[in-house]
Amino acid sequence: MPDADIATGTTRRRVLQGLGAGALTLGAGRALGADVRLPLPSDPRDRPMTGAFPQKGSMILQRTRPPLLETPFEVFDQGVFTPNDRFFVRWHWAVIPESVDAAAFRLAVRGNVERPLSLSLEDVLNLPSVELAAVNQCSGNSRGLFEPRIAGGQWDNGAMGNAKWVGVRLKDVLDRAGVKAGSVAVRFNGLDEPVVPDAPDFMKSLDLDHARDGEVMIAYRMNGEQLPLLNGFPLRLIVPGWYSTYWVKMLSDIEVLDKPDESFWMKTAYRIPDTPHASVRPGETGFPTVPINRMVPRSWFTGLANGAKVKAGASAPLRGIALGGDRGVKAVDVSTDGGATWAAAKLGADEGTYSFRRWTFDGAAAPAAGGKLEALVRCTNADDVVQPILQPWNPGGFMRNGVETLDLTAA
Amino acid sequence: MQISFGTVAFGVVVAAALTLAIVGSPDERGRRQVAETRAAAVAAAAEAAAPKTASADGVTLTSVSFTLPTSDREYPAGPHADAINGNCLSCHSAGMVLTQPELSRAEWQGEVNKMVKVYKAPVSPEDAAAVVEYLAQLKPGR
Ligand code: HEC
Repeated sequence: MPDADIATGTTRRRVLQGLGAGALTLGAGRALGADVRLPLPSDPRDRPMTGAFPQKGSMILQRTRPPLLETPFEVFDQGVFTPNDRFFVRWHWAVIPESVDAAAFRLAVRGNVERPLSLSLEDVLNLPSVELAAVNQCSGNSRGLFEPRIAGGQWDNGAMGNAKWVGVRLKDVLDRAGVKAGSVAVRFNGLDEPVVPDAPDFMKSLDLDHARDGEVMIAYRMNGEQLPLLNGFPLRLIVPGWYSTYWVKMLSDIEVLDKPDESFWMKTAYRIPDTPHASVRPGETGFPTVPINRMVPRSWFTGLANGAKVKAGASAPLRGIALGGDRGVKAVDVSTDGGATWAAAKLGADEGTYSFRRWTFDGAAAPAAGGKLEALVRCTNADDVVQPILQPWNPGGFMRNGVETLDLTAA
Repeated sequence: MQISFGTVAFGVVVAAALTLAIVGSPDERGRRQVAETRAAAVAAAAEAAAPKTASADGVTLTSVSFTLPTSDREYPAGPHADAINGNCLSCHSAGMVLTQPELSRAEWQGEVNKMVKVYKAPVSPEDAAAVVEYLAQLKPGR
């Protein structure tokens, strides 16, 4: 059992939970008891559930320190927005501030700018605010499902979440500092730090034009509340349509660069093959790479899980969520003949280009005589990018988006 | 909802005041006294424990303070367990390693090299060899 023994010694946390959030289980030092078996292709598949993390409900424990907490998939059936207390958590380095003083916090804007800034949270709150729904998905979401398997965080599909973010445009903040001519990129750093001094601090950067597109924002609210500490309180970069690796948490430093970012997490880590579908053969070497970037379309079944029983002779109540990636969801289609023919699912409310979108489908007839029913679901985005039937492979285990299959039994 | 120390301290005092109110003197004067004491205690607590905030434009952000769980889990016993316990628990808990699928010795060697070269894990060459030896025998999840 990975990290089954959370050493708490944290009576204070339990007190906090007990007083502050009725939903949290008191004294959940180790686990809520209901351990899960993830549908990974090989062992180890078992994970403990935990309720021991501040501001978090019941989560799948992937790693205690620094925390990797996965959202149990049933949460995605409950609505297109992911509650803050069930939103996945992912940190690279274990030096994470446990306290953040909202009055003393400062966001630095520096580098190749006319006027370096040190903004208080009040300064940030006083800028014009914008709101946007966007999915935050880990680059390595679903890595554990790849075959051949790949070292790294062994996530099932729950390293993602959708929220309504409120904040200020990064562009407005950069304009206040005055980006100097000759700038090419903007680098972002948060309050977290490596455990050893010379190790690479976690920083990410965006091209200047992307940083100034008016959509990239600095969020201070998530689903109507301030951000949970583990999701980046007090400020988090929101990069709509791009993988979570760019969504720097506890954002405290913005540096305008006059040359491309050569630091580790851009130049060496989080790279994908520069090939169609970022696809290479397992073991292949010598291909060019680029930093991971835009998300690709995905769709999932929710409600019914593999092996579920449905009524023979009736239409199976298929439903789920879809994500367009860096463009909106154009269509969701379902196939019950292994992908030979597809029929359109009904789309739910449009919450915006970067949000999850609900879908339902009532045309999947479970055989009257009983037996198996296999359904496939596929999303097409507004750029006509379609999910592939066969899952491509890359050595980082990134960008998984193959068509999902649901196996049902009619009885 | 976020929970600050202020909220907690406030809650504790309120709880104490309520207890006072419940167990206090049953007569009218006593009850009034208890009520006054409680009001004063609540006000004082609110004042003293007021969490630090930043507000503007109708939004308030409140300071937070928590203790994150740590793990005291060690690697399963076996030859060279001391080497992996001594070198591979400082940056991440054992779960990082024990959730990995079965990897070949060469892949484990690659992981240990990466920890040392890229992430600056201070591991002696002898210990690195012992850790690879341990990992090559590891059957995670079984
Ligand atoms: C100096 C810090 C440090 C030490 C010490 C350390 N690691 Fe790591 N390790 C890391 C970091 C950083 C990551 C990446 C974490 C993440 O992505 O969340 C990592 C990730 C891993 C992974 C996951 C696969 C991957 O490559 O990301 C494995 C396996 C691993 N470490 C094994 C070990 C072993 C075995 C040791 C003991 C020799 C060790 N680590 C010691 C910093 C360290």
